[in-house]
Amino acid sequence: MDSLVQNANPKLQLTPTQFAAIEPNAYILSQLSQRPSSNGVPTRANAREQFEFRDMTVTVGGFTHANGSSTVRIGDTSVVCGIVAEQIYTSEVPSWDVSQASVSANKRRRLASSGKTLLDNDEETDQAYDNEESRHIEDRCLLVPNVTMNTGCTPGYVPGAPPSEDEQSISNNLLGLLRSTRMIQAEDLRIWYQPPNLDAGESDSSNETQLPELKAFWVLHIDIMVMSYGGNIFDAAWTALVAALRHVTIPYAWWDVDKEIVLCSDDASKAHKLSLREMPTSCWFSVFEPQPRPASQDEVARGSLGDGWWIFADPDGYEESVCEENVWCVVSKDKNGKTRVYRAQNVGGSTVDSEVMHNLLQISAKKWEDMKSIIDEVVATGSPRAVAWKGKSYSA
Amino acid sequence: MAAPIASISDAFRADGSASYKCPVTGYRVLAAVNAPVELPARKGALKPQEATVEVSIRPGKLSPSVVEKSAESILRRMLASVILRRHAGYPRRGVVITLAVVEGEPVGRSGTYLPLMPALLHSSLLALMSAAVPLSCTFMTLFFAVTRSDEIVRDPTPAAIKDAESLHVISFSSTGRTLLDLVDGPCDLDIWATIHQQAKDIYQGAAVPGPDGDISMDEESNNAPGDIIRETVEDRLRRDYRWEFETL
Amino acid sequence: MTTPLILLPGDEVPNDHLPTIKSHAKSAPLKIGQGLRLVSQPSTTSTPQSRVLKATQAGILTTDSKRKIVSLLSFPNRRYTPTVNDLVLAQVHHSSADYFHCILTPHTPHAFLPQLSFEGASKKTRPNLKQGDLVYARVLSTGVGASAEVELTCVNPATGKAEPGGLGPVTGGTVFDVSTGMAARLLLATSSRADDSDDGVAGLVIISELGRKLANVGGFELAVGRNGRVWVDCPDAEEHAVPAILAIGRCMQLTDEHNLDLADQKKLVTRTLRELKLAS
Repeated sequence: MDSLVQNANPKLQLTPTQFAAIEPNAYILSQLSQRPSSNGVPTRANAREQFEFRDMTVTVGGFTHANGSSTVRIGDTSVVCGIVAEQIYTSEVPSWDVSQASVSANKRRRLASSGKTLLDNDEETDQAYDNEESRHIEDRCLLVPNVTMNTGCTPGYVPGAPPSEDEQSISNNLLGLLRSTRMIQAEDLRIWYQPPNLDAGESDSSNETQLPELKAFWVLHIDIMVMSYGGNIFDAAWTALVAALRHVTIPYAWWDVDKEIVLCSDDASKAHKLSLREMPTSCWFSVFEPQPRPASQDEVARGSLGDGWWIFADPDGYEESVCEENVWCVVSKDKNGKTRVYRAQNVGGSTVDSEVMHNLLQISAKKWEDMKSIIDEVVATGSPRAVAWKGKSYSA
Repeated sequence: MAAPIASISDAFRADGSASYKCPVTGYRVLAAVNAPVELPARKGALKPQEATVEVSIRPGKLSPSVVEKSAESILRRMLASVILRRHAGYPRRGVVITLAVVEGEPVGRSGTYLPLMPALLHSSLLALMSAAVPLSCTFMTLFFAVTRSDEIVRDPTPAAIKDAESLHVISFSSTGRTLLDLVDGPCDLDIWATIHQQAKDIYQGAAVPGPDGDISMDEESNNAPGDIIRETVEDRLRRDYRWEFETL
Repeated sequence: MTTPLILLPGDEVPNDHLPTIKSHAKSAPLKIGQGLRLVSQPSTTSTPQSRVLKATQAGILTTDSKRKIVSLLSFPNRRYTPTVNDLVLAQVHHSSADYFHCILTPHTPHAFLPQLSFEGASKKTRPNLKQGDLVYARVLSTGVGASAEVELTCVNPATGKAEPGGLGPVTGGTVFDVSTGMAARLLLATSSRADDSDDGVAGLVIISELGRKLANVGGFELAVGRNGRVWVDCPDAEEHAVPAILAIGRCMQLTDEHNLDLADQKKLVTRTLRELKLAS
């Protein structure tokens, strides 16, 4: 009889994996409170510290037919990015107005005469030019980022379904970030035609009349494919995008007056790289609050970080599914070492205040220094070679 | 500065509705809330222990595009943090919020939804209250722009928004927490901190009414978006329950 | 009563607005009604007795000091949420072996009405309701937890009688939609027998006015469901039935929509009856 009862109620034994699947909140909380690492810092369920980022591998090149490509792995997340440049003729641009090009044409002439390149004119940036430049990129849709989930990248992904809200949201955030950082200079995407100076004798007047003509634009199709979803896709996508943009080579193109088409040169030495203005780094953080909070206590007095709530830098998929509040920072540092904020987004909860946000922005700025050196290194190698980065922990 | 214009419970058929207009940016948003309702199409995504919040934005002149999707996702998560989703009758149900941008400049393909956020958020808040959806608190949203000369402008005009270097949206709950913090565009960390300090000052000025007869009173009554929300709700409730309280 | 206190979500209920409760007395404990919740941790812990109530909705604070109930009166156009003992007008959606599945409000799960919960119903004599039929019923239970299923009944489970009177299938007539706030007022106005005053009940005078003026066509029947539906019929009005029903519905809906006061309600009744040629 005794044994029967015992059989009917076998001692409930859960393996950690089962526990993690059934009660993710309790599991993460127990890990945080049970396993202080060597220096007494609480450790997350994935054995990382709160502000510890995962290992990362960045590769550029590898796609022969793309103008630029990269592969980024962050932990279990892997993302592939390919950039293809296509031409669009100004004659095919609806509502193209020649006068729109005049400001930049003047600018170009001025630069050409002063012997400067576009890159070192930061100081004398002309506002009208700047505005027009970003408008060209925006109005003509010269940058087309798109994120797609690969079939099988995550169990929740339904193949054949229309783009999910996540995919659309990431694509749009990438585009918005390209706009607000003004990373890409419109000049890099323009194909000019300089009409020959027919009356070379009177050099003074010709300078006035022979403005270069804008004949075509390069359109960059930036396709990002998520091969494996392990949390924090945006950081992976953005890193892949930046690395691929640094890798992009645009062939030398010119306007052929007789054929009235744009021709490209296969001479690699004439091709140009994109001159990126900035290279900000994106960092996602998730805020973990043990759930469920009792209905009446959803405003428990907020303790300090680590007391009732924790921040997970670079969250993995499991952590993302549990956390509701997220912080997203996109920052870089300028020449003087000052932190520039390009995007900050804190939504979904009420734990992070401006003080915490400030710290997170500073942590992101530190991460930027590392990211910059990784991407510089990977681009410098030229040939497809992976550069690995050991995940590390930061503090503000 | 012209005060925003708000009204509540306009639509007769929706459970809750409201409209909110920012006179400076020119955006007027009409919000409707239906809750708690069944979401049969979303059966897989529904959580057994809490309500699902859905937000859809209908831009006035254009058809909805990808830009709306990311604004919707921000709004959805922001509003979900305010709604008491585990309240009796709400688990496994949906709170459906529909926002129509009735007036104002449409947002382009790579545009930003930040200038619309105050109108979107305030109209949703009013509509949620109108539908009697249980909320843990109310909130107020502030909008700033930083010009090229690093000057901070509160409630910028559309022209100022176009020229601005960066845009900032900050929401404070009535309990004093930061609910939403959005930045778009390059901005120095120091300026970021200054804006947050300024926002906090405005919020605290609005939350604690100072002794009357002050010089700043006139300015402050205009400046606090929290006040207009309270006034709108109180006016409407007084009107709706006139039969109960005025006949006595 | 001075100006009513209006609270917004997250506002604390001032302690002086709560009905006084002697902690040791055997009086009933404080009951927290709609729109409020108890926050267990008071922000200012002065006395252990002090409790903090916070609003979860925007509304007017009402206290019933006799029954020790505090609640918020929220906007009248909100969605109906079933509470036990509410009288509702349910529409049958389909029937299964033991239940009628009824619609109370659009886009919400069906409420269950057991087929035997009618007066005198047995396996053989239970009513045979079709899709779309109307039932005037009482909410028996609203269930607990996530799968809160609403159960309706047309009898008092204790007596087996249709109490209060009129529960059961309704036939004929027409249904009008009104706001939940208006439905509650109509219930007050129709349940009380105060026909004497000109002030009306719950700020409504249309029902008594219409009752007086439509007496010549045989009067009318009204069943008000708290879920914002009102059923109207004039069984004895013969050729005047349709205009009379329309007049009643129109008066209710216009009063609701425009939040008319007593004088305007009287004008509305007179005008509507004249337009529909029911009165000269």
